[in-house]
Amino acid sequence: MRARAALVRTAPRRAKLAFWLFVFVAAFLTWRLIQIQIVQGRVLAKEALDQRAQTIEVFARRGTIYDRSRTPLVRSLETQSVYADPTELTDKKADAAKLAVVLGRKQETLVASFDEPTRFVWVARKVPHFVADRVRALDLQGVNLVEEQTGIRFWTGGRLASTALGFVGLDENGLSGVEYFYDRLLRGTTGRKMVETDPFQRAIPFGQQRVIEAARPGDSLVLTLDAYLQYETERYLRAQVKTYHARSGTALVLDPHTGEILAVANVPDFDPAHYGLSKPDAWRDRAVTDAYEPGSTFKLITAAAALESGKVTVKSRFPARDRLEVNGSTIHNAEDGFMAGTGGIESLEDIIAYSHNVGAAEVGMAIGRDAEYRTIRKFGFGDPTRVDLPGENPGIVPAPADWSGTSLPTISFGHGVSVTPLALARAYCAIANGGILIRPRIVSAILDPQGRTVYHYSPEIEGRAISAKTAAILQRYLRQVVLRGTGNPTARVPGYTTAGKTGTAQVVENGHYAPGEYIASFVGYIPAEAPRYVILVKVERPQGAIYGSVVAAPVFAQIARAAMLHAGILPPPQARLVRPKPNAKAHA
Amino acid sequence: MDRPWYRSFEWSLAIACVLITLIGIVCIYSATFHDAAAATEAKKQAVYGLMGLGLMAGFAFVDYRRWQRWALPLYLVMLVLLAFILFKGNTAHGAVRWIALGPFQFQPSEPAKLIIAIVVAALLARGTYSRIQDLFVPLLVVAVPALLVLKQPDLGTTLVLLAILTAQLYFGVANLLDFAIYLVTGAVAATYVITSEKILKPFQKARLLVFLDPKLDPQGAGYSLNQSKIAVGNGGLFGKGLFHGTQTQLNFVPEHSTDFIFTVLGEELGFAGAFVLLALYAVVIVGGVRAMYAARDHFGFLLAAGLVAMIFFHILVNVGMTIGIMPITGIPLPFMSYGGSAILTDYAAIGILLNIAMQKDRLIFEQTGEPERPRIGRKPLAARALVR
Repeated sequence: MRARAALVRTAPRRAKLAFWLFVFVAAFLTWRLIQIQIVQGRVLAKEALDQRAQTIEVFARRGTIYDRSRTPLVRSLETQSVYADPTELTDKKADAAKLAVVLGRKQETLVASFDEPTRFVWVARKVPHFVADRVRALDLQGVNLVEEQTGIRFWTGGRLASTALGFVGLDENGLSGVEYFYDRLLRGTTGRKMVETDPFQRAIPFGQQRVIEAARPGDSLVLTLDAYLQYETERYLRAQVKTYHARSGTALVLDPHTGEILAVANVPDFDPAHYGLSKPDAWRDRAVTDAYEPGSTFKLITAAAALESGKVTVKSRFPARDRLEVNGSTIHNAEDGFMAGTGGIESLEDIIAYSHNVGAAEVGMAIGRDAEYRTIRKFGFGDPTRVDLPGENPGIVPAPADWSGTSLPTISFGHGVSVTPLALARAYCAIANGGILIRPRIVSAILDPQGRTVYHYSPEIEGRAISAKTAAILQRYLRQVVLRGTGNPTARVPGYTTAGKTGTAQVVENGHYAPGEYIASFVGYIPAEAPRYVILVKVERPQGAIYGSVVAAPVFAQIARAAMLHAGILPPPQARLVRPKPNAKAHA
Repeated sequence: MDRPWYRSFEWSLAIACVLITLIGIVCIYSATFHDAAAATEAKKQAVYGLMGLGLMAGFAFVDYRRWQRWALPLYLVMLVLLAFILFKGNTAHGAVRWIALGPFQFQPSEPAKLIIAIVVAALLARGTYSRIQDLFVPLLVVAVPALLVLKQPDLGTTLVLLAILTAQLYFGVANLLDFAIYLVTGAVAATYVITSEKILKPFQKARLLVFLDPKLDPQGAGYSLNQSKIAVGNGGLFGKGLFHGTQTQLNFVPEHSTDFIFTVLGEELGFAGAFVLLALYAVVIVGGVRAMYAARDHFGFLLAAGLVAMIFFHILVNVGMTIGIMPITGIPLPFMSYGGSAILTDYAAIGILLNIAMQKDRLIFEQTGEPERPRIGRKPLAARALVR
């Protein structure tokens, strides 16, 4: 009874206490909610946004590269990458089979990657959107796509001009050629934006987005290259290199008045989309990176030096002979059927037309090393041409002080100096245009992302190499080469007039001339009376024939004809019936 | 004097529970409709809700004194079940809590709460307690299942069992001093448990302590807490709109259809929605308290006290957890959190409370005889005294 009385006495008090506990808890929860949702609401909402928000880079499309008639050669597509969570895949084998078809990969490798003990596997990096759409259409559980910040390069012409255009790395960073030289312009500026993401940092569809910095697509380039001429140049060069089992070949087509490179072909070349499959040897643009001893094509420089020096005129005569002893060395004329014989005399024109080494050496020795060197330098040899391509080799022109006793006579016919094909072609441009040395170039205009021309290159004149009068004489000599000299008849193009010079040079290997190995070349222009195209063809180490007249001149003729027809300049009606013989063997 | 049942039925109590269940189903839908694996949870919860409603209606018409008579068998069955799942239960999240019943999974620790409330109420209602030593039996009766549940491990339910015991002792012991001694002893024991290395698993301890400062471990135990707080705060006054809570929809908040369902509501419907929910809970608690004081005997009074304490404790700890003032113990929010066993238990408790309340005005035919030995509350003296 005592206990019961106590309960009766205490119960109301306990109830009161419980009541107040209840009120306190209710008030506490409410107060806390007010504090979190209303007082700190803004702060926490911002914290929530920060947590969801992530700054991501926005793809800036890399600029397009066009040829001179605005045909796109390279352009960029947006890409996505495909990844998978192998643990989420319902059927690894079946999924891999479907993906293999869409992505063009092997099913076995995909299955193998799915068997890795991981929850993240790249299935394919950087596939263009149309492929990504196909992957999405498969609707496989555990297979996802992510937008890439860089695109993928598409070469509309495949291998066309690959050595000049160059290639890009996985992030579309230019690694060679024009892509490398103009990388900063082409690349554009990657933008940044803030997006809402889930805890796995995947962007939320229709989430908040805020552009912090807009992406600016890269500028586009208009090249001086002519896609058609490039194609023809590559085609003829490749065929000839194959015919003569040559190690490599280079061909250039330049506009002598503007310095524009209309075509630059190299064999070997590569597929820029899979450049890794080719040897690095195939990547370079030999027209600018490879200097070689030019041989006879260099005799024009000696002739120019002779005429410029005033010590030799068109009327000067030199003793005709096929051997010459100079400081213990013997100089020979090539045994090509145009030999000088003994006892006669020959003019400078004959020396050029028949490509006499001995005559050229005599001319050089007659004018002296300083006159020779001065003209060589005036043609820009020994310096880079400052062409807008990477990796240019300036060539080697030793200073006269370093010349040995045999240097002057050998340099006179193109040995003991080295030049790049582009530098030599430029020198012939100067001869063809009346003596003006022009800076060669491959980009003619820069377009902004909207396609407006923001910069247009005009011809850049480096200076005068030779007088117009000398140039005119040299043009006459070059015409004679084709009419009656080493270029007859292989450098002729029926219905057109051509002019040029053959070259057959020995190959320097480890500081010595490699026995039996030659570089056959031809440099010339078309038409002879008003040069439009300067064309250089160089074939390295041809087998079976070695002379420029045999190996290189026919390619010159083919390219020259193609260029004229492409320009819409048709040969006279009767000449049209005569087709050029591609590999007509001249005098062996 | 005998009125029809619907006149004495605690309508507000039942309706509030149904309303909360409906809100809960909407919130579960919002929390899961993105997630293919859990998308059926809202539908299932609706089914559970209907089953719960049936259970509530059934229990409302079962004389609550029947539970008093069944206390011992119920208790024994419960012990068997709890012991059983320790050996053969199904695992989820590293804890063994479920028994598979055909397609359903049954969580015995949920009805264990009701049974403990019944058993302790029955024990205390016997009124043989005049000395503090007499508390030994109810303490032991609770300790055995509490330890079994703790072993699962399910710290939350263990705490709920202790909360039920504490409330019933508070209202049931003769001398409040005894209760104070119990409280102090309990506090000392709790301190020992928290500081001891052996009893609690490391993750449980981390959860218990990290709420004091979530920044201690923002990626680990504090992560859920912090994320939940941010989400609720993100709701602001009127919320981000139903189905548009960014934090919950994007899985920043874990377990959002079960333990953190309040977070979904807080973020999507804001303070307004949260306040309405808390008000509905207040209606439930008040209804429960009315039933308690309507009880016509001591058993009913104590049983109601235990059940109200159970629901109240659930609400306090769960809501407190989502807004960063309570440790993370994994206690579901009554009628809101997804889970069949929990919602059925909640509705059963409400059913019992409804019956206790309904019998208030019934004429008492039984137990009118004089008390044969001194005992407390065979007749609802204390309760009556309180109501008046």
